Amino acid sequence: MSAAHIDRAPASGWRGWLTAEQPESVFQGRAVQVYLSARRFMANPLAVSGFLIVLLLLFTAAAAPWIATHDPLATNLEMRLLPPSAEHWFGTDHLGRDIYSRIVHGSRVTLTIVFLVSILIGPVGLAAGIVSGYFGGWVDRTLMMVTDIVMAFPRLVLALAFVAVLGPGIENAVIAVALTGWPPYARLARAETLSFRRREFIQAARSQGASPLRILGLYILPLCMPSAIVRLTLDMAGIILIAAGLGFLGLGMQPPTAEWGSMIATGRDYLIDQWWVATLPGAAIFVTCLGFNFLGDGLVDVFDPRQS
Amino acid sequence: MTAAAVDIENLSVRFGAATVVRGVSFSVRPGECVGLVGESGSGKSTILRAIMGLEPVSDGQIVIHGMPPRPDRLTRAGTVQMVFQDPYASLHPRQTIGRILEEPLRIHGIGGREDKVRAALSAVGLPISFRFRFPHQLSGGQRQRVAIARALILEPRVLLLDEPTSALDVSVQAEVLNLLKQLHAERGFSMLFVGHDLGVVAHMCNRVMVLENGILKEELSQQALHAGCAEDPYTRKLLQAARMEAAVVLHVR
Repeated sequence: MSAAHIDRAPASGWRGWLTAEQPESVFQGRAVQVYLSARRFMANPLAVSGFLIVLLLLFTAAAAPWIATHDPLATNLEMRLLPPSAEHWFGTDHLGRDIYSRIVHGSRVTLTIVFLVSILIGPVGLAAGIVSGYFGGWVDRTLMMVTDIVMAFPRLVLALAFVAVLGPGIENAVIAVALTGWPPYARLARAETLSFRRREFIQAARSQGASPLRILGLYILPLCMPSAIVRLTLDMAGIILIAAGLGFLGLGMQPPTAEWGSMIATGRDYLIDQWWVATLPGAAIFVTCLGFNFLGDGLVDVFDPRQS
Repeated sequence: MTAAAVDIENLSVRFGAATVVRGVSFSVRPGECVGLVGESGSGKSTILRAIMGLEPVSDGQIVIHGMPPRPDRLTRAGTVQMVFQDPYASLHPRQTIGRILEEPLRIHGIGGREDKVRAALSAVGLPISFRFRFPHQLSGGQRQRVAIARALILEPRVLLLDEPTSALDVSVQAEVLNLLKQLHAERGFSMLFVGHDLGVVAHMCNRVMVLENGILKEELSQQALHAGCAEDPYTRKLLQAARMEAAVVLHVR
């Protein structure tokens, strides 16, 4: 008896329920899909490590006050620029603040920016893209012209100009990043919509009397979502880097709040002798970006329904 | 004398410079099955899509059950439904079969959906448990049955069929055709059946229209088709091709 044969023998219990060829309810049908997707995801070790990193980031941000060892804002000039030790795990900065606690609290700022930017650029880009692709004609030409214009702006420079005009701060940093972030999603969604638009299931929906809004929302949007989510996850790294860049230039979150970019900025004066001041926040940015990228690559596999 | 189920008068469809349908007129009586045959590119599918409102009518008019020429979305959908050629493309890949069958009912705000979906599935000979499956878990023939169930769930008076079996295996083709014939006999809707296989069309339809390059060439009765007597040289060519194909199939068997 071959191993494959054993594999195919009907499994019992919840596992059998989750792998059923013939689901007996809508809920089970969905559960089977989720289970098979999760199994594909788990088969990719890089994706799992990315997922764990992102999970760690979420946990850190949520539990920051409890896992930080010191007050991230408490200065102590007698303790300035101390190397990593048992007392200060990641050392202290030029004002004697505990770097570990500041990195832990800084994750909140990073996550806030990532979250706000995603919920701005994802929906805006998707909406512009599917409307453009589905209706075509002058709607398409106008929307794509706007997209092209926005795409032509140098991203960081526009964000700088924007923050310079509106004043530094996290909200303005978010708006500045989002302003130039949506066009790739519009392009992606438009290209996908164009490929679905003439397909027979859309024609079938039209001949059943479905309104354009229904077709866009219930037929085309669910098909464009997976690639947008993957793209968004892969874009997170870029968003984090821009946010850190703005922080580095003093245009993001304002001191004394802990923010990874501005922490690197303060550390650059001591880069040679007190390497930990700039390097450890930099490592936090690096690991986080890597985590999102791994996760994004893993999601590509998950969202292909015909691979099962 | 009741009004025609579908009355097409001098219909033309143009895409830019290309004229795909040129001044076609014919009508389908209630309960009748009319075939439309012709080579690919002869405009037969375009006529169906124009009736369904999926292509713009450039000239002439289409009257469905005495309705005004441009009925609103829901009225048209409640009266005419269409089964598409490719069952692999006509079902939404991320909707369950149950959801796909419910959609027309939801769009038209019709209640009792659960029961109607069950009835629709059993009418096309599919087990009721299929409603929790996704299209990719079904075979081509099963998918086409779902598409037929979806088209009939609104109880339309006219059913348009765009080569409903050409994407299926030969063995499955007969099953689907017999199902259509049986449903047609039970429910008495009118059918407009597009095909390129004269044998299939002759099996299904009372009358057959022959199209070439968007022009209606000839109308044949079922008897004439079986007897193989056609006036038009193009029709004869089609008949001859069909006979040769049949001969080849017989020979292979």
